[in-house]
Amino acid sequence: MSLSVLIVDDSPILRRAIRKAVGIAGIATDRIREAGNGVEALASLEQDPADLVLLDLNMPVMDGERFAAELRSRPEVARGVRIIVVSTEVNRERLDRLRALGAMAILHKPFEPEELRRLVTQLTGESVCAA
Amino acid sequence: MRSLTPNALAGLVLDALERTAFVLAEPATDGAAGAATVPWYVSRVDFAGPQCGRVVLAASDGFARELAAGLLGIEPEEVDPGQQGRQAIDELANIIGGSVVLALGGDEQPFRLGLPAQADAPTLDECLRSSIRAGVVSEFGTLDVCVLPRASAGEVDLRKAG
Repeated sequence: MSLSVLIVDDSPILRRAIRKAVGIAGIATDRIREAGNGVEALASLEQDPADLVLLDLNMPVMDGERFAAELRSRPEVARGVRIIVVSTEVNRERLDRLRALGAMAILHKPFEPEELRRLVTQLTGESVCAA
Repeated sequence: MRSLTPNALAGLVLDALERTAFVLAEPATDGAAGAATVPWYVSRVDFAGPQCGRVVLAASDGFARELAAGLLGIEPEEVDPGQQGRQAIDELANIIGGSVVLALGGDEQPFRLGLPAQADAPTLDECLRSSIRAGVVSEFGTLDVCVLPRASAGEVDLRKAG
Protein backbone atom coordinates (compact mmCIF):
# COMPACT_ATOMS: atom_id res chain seq x y z
CA MET A 1 0.00 0.00 0.00
CA SER A 2 1.33 3.40 -0.97
CA LEU A 3 0.02 6.52 0.76
CA SER A 4 -0.60 10.09 -0.28
CA VAL A 5 0.52 12.18 2.69
CA LEU A 6 -0.17 15.82 3.60
CA ILE A 7 2.09 17.37 6.27
CA VAL A 8 0.51 20.40 7.95
CA ASP A 9 2.83 22.48 10.14
CA ASP A 10 3.71 26.17 10.26
CA SER A 11 7.41 25.42 10.72
CA PRO A 12 9.11 24.80 7.35
CA ILE A 13 11.99 23.04 9.02
CA LEU A 14 9.69 20.74 10.94
CA ARG A 15 7.75 19.91 7.77
CA ARG A 16 11.01 18.79 6.25
CA ALA A 17 11.94 16.89 9.41
CA ILE A 18 8.59 15.07 9.37
CA ARG A 19 9.07 14.31 5.69
CA LYS A 20 12.44 12.83 6.61
CA ALA A 21 10.87 10.84 9.46
CA VAL A 22 8.30 9.37 7.04
CA GLY A 23 11.19 8.18 4.89
CA ILE A 24 13.20 6.79 7.81
CA ALA A 25 10.07 5.00 9.06
CA GLY A 26 9.94 3.21 5.72
CA ILE A 27 6.40 4.33 4.99
CA ALA A 28 5.61 3.80 1.33
CA THR A 29 4.32 7.01 -0.20
CA ASP A 30 3.33 7.93 -3.71
CA ARG A 31 3.19 11.63 -2.86
CA ILE A 32 4.04 13.91 0.06
CA ARG A 33 2.65 17.45 0.11
CA GLU A 34 3.05 20.23 2.66
CA ALA A 35 0.82 22.99 4.01
CA GLY A 36 1.72 25.78 6.44
CA ASN A 37 -1.68 26.09 8.16
CA GLY A 38 -5.24 24.80 8.13
CA VAL A 39 -6.39 27.05 5.31
CA GLU A 40 -3.62 25.84 3.01
CA ALA A 41 -4.33 22.25 4.02
CA LEU A 42 -8.03 22.51 3.17
CA ALA A 43 -7.20 24.06 -0.19
CA SER A 44 -4.75 21.27 -0.88
CA LEU A 45 -7.28 18.56 0.01
CA GLU A 46 -9.98 20.21 -2.09
CA GLN A 47 -7.70 19.94 -5.10
CA ASP A 48 -6.36 16.49 -4.40
CA PRO A 49 -7.34 14.01 -1.66
CA ALA A 50 -4.85 12.47 0.76
CA ASP A 51 -4.78 9.19 2.65
CA LEU A 52 -2.98 10.61 5.64
CA VAL A 53 -2.76 14.08 7.19
CA LEU A 54 0.00 14.69 9.74
CA LEU A 55 -1.42 17.67 11.58
CA ASP A 56 0.20 20.21 13.88
CA LEU A 57 -2.15 22.11 16.21
CA ASN A 58 -0.55 25.42 17.14
CA MET A 59 -0.46 27.26 13.84
CA PRO A 60 -1.28 30.79 12.74
CA VAL A 61 -4.14 31.61 10.31
CA MET A 62 -6.07 28.41 11.06
CA ASP A 63 -4.95 26.04 13.80
CA GLY A 64 -5.23 22.26 13.70
CA GLU A 65 -8.39 22.04 15.76
CA ARG A 66 -10.28 24.44 13.48
CA PHE A 67 -8.91 22.60 10.47
CA ALA A 68 -10.26 19.29 11.82
CA ALA A 69 -13.66 20.89 12.45
CA GLU A 70 -13.75 22.42 8.96
CA LEU A 71 -12.74 19.15 7.37
CA ARG A 72 -15.44 17.29 9.27
CA SER A 73 -18.03 19.71 7.94
CA ARG A 74 -17.00 18.88 4.38
CA PRO A 75 -17.53 15.12 4.03
CA GLU A 76 -16.77 15.19 0.31
CA VAL A 77 -13.27 16.50 1.10
CA ALA A 78 -12.78 14.42 4.25
CA ARG A 79 -13.59 11.11 2.60
CA GLY A 80 -10.79 8.58 3.18
CA VAL A 81 -8.57 11.04 5.06
CA ARG A 82 -6.91 9.73 8.23
CA ILE A 83 -5.61 12.39 10.60
CA ILE A 84 -2.67 11.89 12.92
CA VAL A 85 -2.11 14.89 15.21
CA VAL A 86 1.62 15.61 15.56
CA SER A 87 1.91 18.17 18.31
CA THR A 88 3.29 19.23 21.66
CA GLU A 89 -0.30 19.37 22.97
CA VAL A 90 -0.84 17.16 26.01
CA ASN A 91 -4.13 18.38 27.47
CA ARG A 92 -6.57 15.47 27.54
CA GLU A 93 -9.66 17.60 27.04
CA ARG A 94 -8.29 19.19 23.90
CA LEU A 95 -7.05 15.86 22.58
CA ASP A 96 -10.48 14.32 23.26
CA ARG A 97 -12.06 17.16 21.28
CA LEU A 98 -9.72 16.40 18.41
CA ARG A 99 -10.59 12.72 18.51
CA ALA A 100 -14.26 13.70 18.38
CA LEU A 101 -13.46 15.80 15.32
CA GLY A 102 -11.94 12.83 13.56
CA ALA A 103 -8.30 12.68 14.62
CA MET A 104 -7.47 8.99 14.70
CA ALA A 105 -4.20 9.14 16.64
CA ILE A 106 -1.95 11.52 18.55
CA LEU A 107 1.81 11.60 18.12
CA HIS A 108 3.55 13.75 20.69
CA LYS A 109 6.59 15.80 19.76
CA PRO A 110 9.33 14.76 20.21
CA PHE A 111 8.76 11.43 18.45
CA GLU A 112 10.83 8.79 16.75
CA PRO A 113 10.14 7.55 13.20
CA GLU A 114 9.35 4.08 14.56
CA GLU A 115 6.43 5.52 16.55
CA LEU A 116 5.05 7.07 13.37
CA ARG A 117 5.42 3.81 11.46
CA ARG A 118 3.59 1.89 14.20
CA LEU A 119 0.69 4.35 14.22
CA VAL A 120 0.35 4.42 10.45
CA THR A 121 0.38 0.62 10.32
CA GLN A 122 -2.34 0.51 13.00
CA LEU A 123 -4.50 3.03 11.15
CA THR A 124 -4.22 1.48 7.73
CA GLY A 125 -4.48 -2.08 9.01
CA GLU A 126 -1.70 -3.29 6.77
CA SER A 127 1.99 -2.92 6.19
CA VAL A 128 2.90 0.44 4.75
CA CYS A 129 6.62 -0.15 4.58
CA ALA A 130 8.42 0.75 1.41
CA ALA A 131 9.92 -2.22 -0.41
CA MET B 1 0.83 21.58 41.64
CA ARG B 2 3.94 20.06 40.11
CA SER B 3 7.30 21.78 39.90
CA LEU B 4 10.30 21.49 37.63
CA THR B 5 13.90 21.05 38.77
CA PRO B 6 17.01 21.91 36.73
CA ASN B 7 17.83 18.19 36.49
CA ALA B 8 14.36 17.40 35.17
CA LEU B 9 14.65 20.26 32.67
CA ALA B 10 18.00 18.90 31.46
CA GLY B 11 16.39 15.50 30.97
CA LEU B 12 13.59 17.03 28.87
CA VAL B 13 16.09 18.89 26.72
CA LEU B 14 18.30 15.84 26.11
CA ASP B 15 15.27 13.70 25.24
CA ALA B 16 13.91 16.29 22.80
CA LEU B 17 17.29 16.62 21.08
CA GLU B 18 17.81 12.91 20.67
CA ARG B 19 14.30 12.00 19.58
CA THR B 20 13.65 14.97 17.31
CA ALA B 21 16.97 15.50 15.60
CA PHE B 22 19.24 12.61 16.62
CA VAL B 23 21.50 15.14 18.36
CA LEU B 24 23.40 13.59 21.24
CA ALA B 25 24.37 15.99 24.00
CA GLU B 26 25.51 15.93 27.61
CA PRO B 27 24.49 18.08 30.55
CA ALA B 28 26.92 20.92 31.25
CA THR B 29 28.89 20.27 34.42
CA ASP B 30 27.83 23.41 36.28
CA GLY B 31 24.30 23.56 34.87
CA ALA B 32 25.14 26.29 32.35
CA ALA B 33 26.70 25.60 28.98
CA GLY B 34 27.78 29.17 28.25
CA ALA B 35 25.51 29.83 25.28
CA ALA B 36 23.44 32.27 27.30
CA THR B 37 26.42 34.53 27.98
CA VAL B 38 27.19 35.16 24.31
CA PRO B 39 24.27 33.63 22.44
CA TRP B 40 24.00 33.42 18.69
CA TYR B 41 20.21 33.17 18.83
CA VAL B 42 17.68 33.27 21.66
CA SER B 43 14.16 31.91 21.30
CA ARG B 44 11.29 31.82 23.76
CA VAL B 45 7.85 30.29 24.04
CA ASP B 46 5.27 31.31 26.66
CA PHE B 47 2.72 29.18 28.47
CA ALA B 48 -0.28 29.89 30.66
CA GLY B 49 -2.55 27.80 32.83
CA PRO B 50 -2.43 26.87 36.50
CA GLN B 51 1.16 28.10 36.21
CA CYS B 52 2.39 30.73 33.78
CA GLY B 53 5.86 31.26 32.42
CA ARG B 54 8.34 31.51 29.63
CA VAL B 55 10.77 28.90 28.31
CA VAL B 56 13.94 30.46 26.89
CA LEU B 57 16.56 28.80 24.69
CA ALA B 58 19.95 30.43 24.07
CA ALA B 59 21.97 28.63 21.42
CA SER B 60 25.44 28.95 19.99
CA ASP B 61 25.93 29.11 16.23
CA GLY B 62 27.40 25.60 16.13
CA PHE B 63 24.53 24.16 18.11
CA ALA B 64 21.92 25.76 15.83
CA ARG B 65 23.70 24.35 12.77
CA GLU B 66 23.91 20.89 14.32
CA LEU B 67 20.25 20.90 15.31
CA ALA B 68 19.07 22.09 11.90
CA ALA B 69 21.30 19.52 10.21
CA GLY B 70 19.82 16.78 12.37
CA LEU B 71 16.27 17.87 11.62
CA LEU B 72 16.88 18.15 7.90
CA GLY B 73 19.21 15.20 7.42
CA ILE B 74 22.01 17.31 5.96
CA GLU B 75 25.54 18.22 7.03
CA PRO B 76 26.02 21.14 9.48
CA GLU B 77 28.05 23.09 6.91
CA GLU B 78 25.13 22.92 4.48
CA VAL B 79 22.79 24.68 6.93
CA ASP B 80 21.69 28.25 6.25
CA PRO B 81 22.08 29.52 9.83
CA GLY B 82 20.08 32.72 9.37
CA GLN B 83 16.99 30.83 8.28
CA GLN B 84 17.24 27.12 9.04
CA GLY B 85 19.30 27.58 12.21
CA ARG B 86 16.80 30.01 13.72
CA GLN B 87 13.81 27.93 12.62
CA ALA B 88 15.39 24.89 14.25
CA ILE B 89 15.88 26.67 17.59
CA ASP B 90 12.32 28.05 17.44
CA GLU B 91 10.95 24.57 16.81
CA LEU B 92 13.04 23.14 19.63
CA ALA B 93 11.60 25.87 21.89
CA ASN B 94 8.12 24.75 20.89
CA ILE B 95 8.90 21.10 21.64
CA ILE B 96 10.62 21.79 24.95
CA GLY B 97 7.79 24.16 25.87
CA GLY B 98 5.34 21.31 25.36
CA SER B 99 7.47 19.00 27.49
CA VAL B 100 7.69 21.61 30.26
CA VAL B 101 3.92 22.02 30.24
CA LEU B 102 3.50 18.26 30.47
CA ALA B 103 5.93 18.12 33.39
CA LEU B 104 3.89 20.82 35.14
CA GLY B 105 0.71 18.78 34.81
CA GLY B 106 -0.53 19.78 31.37
CA ASP B 107 -2.08 16.39 30.72
CA GLU B 108 -4.58 16.93 33.53
CA GLN B 109 -4.94 20.69 33.59
CA PRO B 110 -5.62 23.23 30.86
CA PHE B 111 -2.43 24.93 29.73
CA ARG B 112 -1.97 27.01 26.61
CA LEU B 113 1.29 27.30 24.71
CA GLY B 114 2.16 30.31 22.55
CA LEU B 115 4.16 30.37 19.37
CA PRO B 116 7.96 30.50 19.53
CA ALA B 117 9.61 33.85 18.81
CA GLN B 118 12.95 35.56 19.13
CA ALA B 119 13.57 36.68 22.71
CA ASP B 120 14.71 40.16 23.68
CA ALA B 121 17.73 41.19 25.76
CA PRO B 122 15.87 41.61 29.10
CA THR B 123 14.53 38.08 28.74
CA LEU B 124 18.08 36.80 28.24
CA ASP B 125 19.30 38.73 31.29
CA GLU B 126 16.52 37.19 33.33
CA CYS B 127 17.41 33.76 31.97
CA LEU B 128 20.98 34.16 33.20
CA ARG B 129 19.63 34.60 36.73
CA SER B 130 17.00 31.86 36.57
CA SER B 131 17.09 29.10 39.15
CA ILE B 132 15.42 26.67 36.73
CA ARG B 133 18.15 26.41 34.17
CA ALA B 134 19.93 23.64 32.31
CA GLY B 135 22.82 23.69 29.86
CA VAL B 136 23.78 21.00 27.40
CA VAL B 137 26.89 20.51 25.31
CA SER B 138 26.80 18.77 21.95
CA GLU B 139 29.51 18.00 19.42
CA PHE B 140 29.23 21.36 17.65
CA GLY B 141 28.02 23.79 20.29
CA THR B 142 26.10 24.62 23.43
CA LEU B 143 22.53 25.32 24.47
CA ASP B 144 21.18 26.90 27.63
CA VAL B 145 17.52 26.52 28.54
CA CYS B 146 15.70 28.23 31.38
CA VAL B 147 12.15 28.53 32.66
CA LEU B 148 11.00 31.93 33.90
CA PRO B 149 7.89 31.79 36.09
CA ARG B 150 5.27 34.52 35.61
CA ALA B 151 2.64 35.61 38.10
CA SER B 152 -0.27 35.71 35.67
CA ALA B 153 -1.37 35.07 32.11
CA GLY B 154 -1.24 38.83 31.53
CA GLU B 155 2.55 38.64 31.64
CA VAL B 156 2.95 36.08 28.88
CA ASP B 157 2.52 36.21 25.12
CA LEU B 158 0.10 33.64 23.77
CA ARG B 159 -0.46 35.28 20.40
CA LYS B 160 -1.67 32.57 18.16
CA ALA B 161 -3.95 33.40 15.28
CA GLY B 162 -6.42 30.81 14.23
